[in-house]
Amino acid sequence: MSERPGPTGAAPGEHRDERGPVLRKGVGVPTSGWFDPRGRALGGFAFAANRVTGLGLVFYLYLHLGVLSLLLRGEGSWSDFLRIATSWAFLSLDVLLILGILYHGLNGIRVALVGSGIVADRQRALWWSLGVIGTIALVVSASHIYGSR
Amino acid sequence: MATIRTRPEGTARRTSPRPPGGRSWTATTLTGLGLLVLLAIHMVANHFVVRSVGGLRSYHQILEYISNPAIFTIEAIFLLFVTVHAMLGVRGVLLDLDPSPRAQRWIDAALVVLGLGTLAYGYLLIGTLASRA
Amino acid sequence: MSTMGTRRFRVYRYKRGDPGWRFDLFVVPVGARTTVLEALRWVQRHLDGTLALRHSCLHASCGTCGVQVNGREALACVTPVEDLGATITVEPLANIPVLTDLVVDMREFVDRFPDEIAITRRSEPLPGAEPPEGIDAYERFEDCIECGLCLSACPVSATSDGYFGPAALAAAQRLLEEPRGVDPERILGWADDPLGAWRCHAAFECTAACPSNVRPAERIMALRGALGRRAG
Repeated sequence: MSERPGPTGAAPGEHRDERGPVLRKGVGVPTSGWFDPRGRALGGFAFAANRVTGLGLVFYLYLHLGVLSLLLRGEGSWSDFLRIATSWAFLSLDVLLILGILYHGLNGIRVALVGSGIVADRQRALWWSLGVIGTIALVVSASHIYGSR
Repeated sequence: MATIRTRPEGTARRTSPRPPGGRSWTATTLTGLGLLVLLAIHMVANHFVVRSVGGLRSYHQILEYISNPAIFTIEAIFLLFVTVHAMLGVRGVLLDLDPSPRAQRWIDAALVVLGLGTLAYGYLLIGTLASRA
Repeated sequence: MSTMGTRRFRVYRYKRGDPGWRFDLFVVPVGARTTVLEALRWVQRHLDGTLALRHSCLHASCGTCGVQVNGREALACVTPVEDLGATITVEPLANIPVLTDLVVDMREFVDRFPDEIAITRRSEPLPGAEPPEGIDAYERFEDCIECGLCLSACPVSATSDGYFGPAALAAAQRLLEEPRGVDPERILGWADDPLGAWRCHAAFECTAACPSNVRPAERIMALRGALGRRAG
């Protein structure tokens, strides 16, 4: 738990006494409050995991563009890459990628339906039901990917 | 109306005038929904169609794949959607750093530049590969 | 209170003029049904009379005694110590400036509500309701007891003091449901702000923390639905 005086919060023209400390949930830095899993309920975990997978996928987007750039160098470069990409470790990273995509996508469906007010009061049921779908999809994908080796 | 006010009129926290905030959320949601279809197509095509380890395509298989006009169009739209969704998502995360309005404008500008750069490079990449087939 | 043992209470302390905050440790005798508030009051009476805390009704209807217990928001008057572990950490609510010890400045909470929200409102007979024979009328009370637990739990409020917060947004949505003379367009215009309804990330921590069935997150989502229909 970190604390520091924040902005005054006073309305324009209003004088406020010195502001006392403000407790913030967070890991060190107050703006990490969304990342702190301590004392959170299901929705908080889901939100944090959505962000973590989202940021991971952004990183992957640029990694992917970088890897695809090997194609510009010709068949030899790509074949060298495929030799690495078909190893057990790399295939496991592929499964991890699919996990991230499934989580972010299916949780995104939940956020879209709930956040637009369409199904505002069913967020728990959505999380669990989409979670079952995602788990099945992940198991099928993983068995296909590992089974192809 | 039976209302008793215990706070003087006009003392509520005032927010500075800002444009409505729903556009970013709407755009993120719409691109996200589009990605459900586009990303599914992309993943299936590149991991679950070709009979190889991990479903990965060889060099020539990729050239053949991307030179198909329908595939090229789908992948181009996919790149657009994923870039917009990614930039908006990063913007949402950076918003929680509580930047000043000036810093927010710089962040928005930087993300637009990054997004356009990503699209430019991506289209250059798939265009070059398609032309080699 | 009949005792079943003791618990250690790690209590946040801060007084104006102090260089910073600290935690004080108190060993408190507890019984099977001892609440956090009872334990803190015992500390006040027997160990440290300078410990400042707020409470009133003792039965979760006033919302005054909101604190964080082991990192989770709770009303101290109805939180039993039995299942809280050997060491219980009590802190003031998060995201609201501390005045002293466990007391936060609720002006910062109340000021987030739009002007159209009356701070108190005389209860009125509920129009359209058909009470059974012998009952003259139903009166509708607001569920929200303005305890601030939702604001403390909200991960977005942890990142920005400008965010309107779950309580204010939920109150706005209640006004949409039952305007009582308020112009709904003014409420929607107030909520349609990057720091208003659109800043919520649907974490639902506010609903999890709410002791009074307000379900602020669901109300914010309904508010967004109303804003979407207004735009479309």
